[in-house]
Amino acid sequence: MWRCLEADLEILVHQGHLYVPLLFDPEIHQESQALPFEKYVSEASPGGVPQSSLPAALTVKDRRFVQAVSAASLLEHYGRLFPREHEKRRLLLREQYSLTADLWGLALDPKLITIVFHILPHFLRREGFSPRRSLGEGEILDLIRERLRIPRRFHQEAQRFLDLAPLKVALQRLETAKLESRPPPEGLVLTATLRAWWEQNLTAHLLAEERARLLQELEDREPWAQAQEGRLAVLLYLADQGSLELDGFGFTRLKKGQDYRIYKRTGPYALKDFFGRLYLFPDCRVAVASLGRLRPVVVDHYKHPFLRQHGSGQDICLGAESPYLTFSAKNVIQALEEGINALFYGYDSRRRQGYHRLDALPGMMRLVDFEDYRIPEDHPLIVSGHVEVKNRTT
Amino acid sequence: MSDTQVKPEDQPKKVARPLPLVLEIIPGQAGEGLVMVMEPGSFEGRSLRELCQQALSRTDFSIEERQILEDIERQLKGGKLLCQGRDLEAPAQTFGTVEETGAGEAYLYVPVRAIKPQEGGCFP
Repeated sequence: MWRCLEADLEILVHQGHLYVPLLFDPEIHQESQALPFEKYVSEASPGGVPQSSLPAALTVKDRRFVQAVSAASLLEHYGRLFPREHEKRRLLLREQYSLTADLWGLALDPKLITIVFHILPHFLRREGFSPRRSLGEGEILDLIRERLRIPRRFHQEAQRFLDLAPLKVALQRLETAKLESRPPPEGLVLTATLRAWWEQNLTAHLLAEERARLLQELEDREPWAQAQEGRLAVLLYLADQGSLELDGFGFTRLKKGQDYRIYKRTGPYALKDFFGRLYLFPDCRVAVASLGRLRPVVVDHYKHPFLRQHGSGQDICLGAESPYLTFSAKNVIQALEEGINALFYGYDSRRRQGYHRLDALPGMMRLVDFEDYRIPEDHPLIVSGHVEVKNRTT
Repeated sequence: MSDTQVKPEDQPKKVARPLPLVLEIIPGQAGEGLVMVMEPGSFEGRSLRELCQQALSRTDFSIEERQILEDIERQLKGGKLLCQGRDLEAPAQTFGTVEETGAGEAYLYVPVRAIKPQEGGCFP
């Protein structure tokens, strides 16, 4: 189709659809005899009313045309068919309207926003017992700022970001551009005319997209312009680094794309076996990835009755009734808690659960051994209360 | 005539003062929970479970506290209250640790977690 547009031809446009001429070929001519050719009647002419279903083939001045694609699809799908050329055109337009300078604002990744403002506060603990209330966005950033040292360059970036003037000027420049798209010309037209129409409409389409992007950026940045520079520096730092750890809760950006590994540390804890003997488990990170199904895993090299091996990145055995959860603040919190609760409270020495037992019965083959975790009951960490025995009730 | 010297006591006797109780019921693995402060004399002789029931049956919660309460109730559907991995039948004093406010005032702190345990898969 794109080659047809490049050639010097006459094509027919009818109700927004393109009809291309049939080739002068005996075989095609023979096949086309079977097609019901309707005579083309312009909508502008008397009796020419828009038809509900478009004819597959039309004749104009004894020339035969068959239906191809809609004119609108040439605009809509250009970006998908020719992504490089599409991006090139976009960059040229940005240069033409001076949209490239000082406009590369902060990309507020929606997943990062969810993690920082909706998941992190759940696991945070403030000092004292002041009346419980949910933290605002600014307060969360203040809390992070108190506990993290933000490099100076992020404060400088924040100052630049707060200046909205270049963005507003760029939008004003775009106001002068023609953003409306026109319908394609009707009837027999030269491909050069159709190409001109397509060029104009594609430009309008791209400019409208740019304007929407700038408006969105302005909408994102305006609330921040009122906030303190320090808070914004924290957010810029998080967007740049993609990782943070506070109160045992943390996240790191995965190498590919805009996805994150979100984790919560367990801290050391103890479990008891059937005979009441204690086993001290070291700290580990229970994590979920924001990509696909949320399944809690232990990131670190670790062993536990609910892990298949002594290794890293293992799924925690949660049983068959574990629901299918996808990324949202509520689901991430639920998945992390399920994982931690399984490690802490899931093991019951009287039941056959998980993959392994803490206590080995005589003559039993053990794939994972927990003898090295054994501690006496009067271990200082247990006596002082620094480490809890999580399954005393079972 | 020799002067009588009073020798200071090697280990001065500690006077056990009754302390107020700060009970915090935390939903799951959350950082914070519902806090209830009890004056000395108002909680002795009662099990920690009774104190938790009293705390959860309050009706004067703020909107934010009500959200935490909903979280606790969600965990308690199929779950239970645990303190230091134990059930709450013993008196609060057996669970508590003595902490101090910023002003140096001591109190007995008892954190209780509402936990919905995961039972894990079958033994292969």
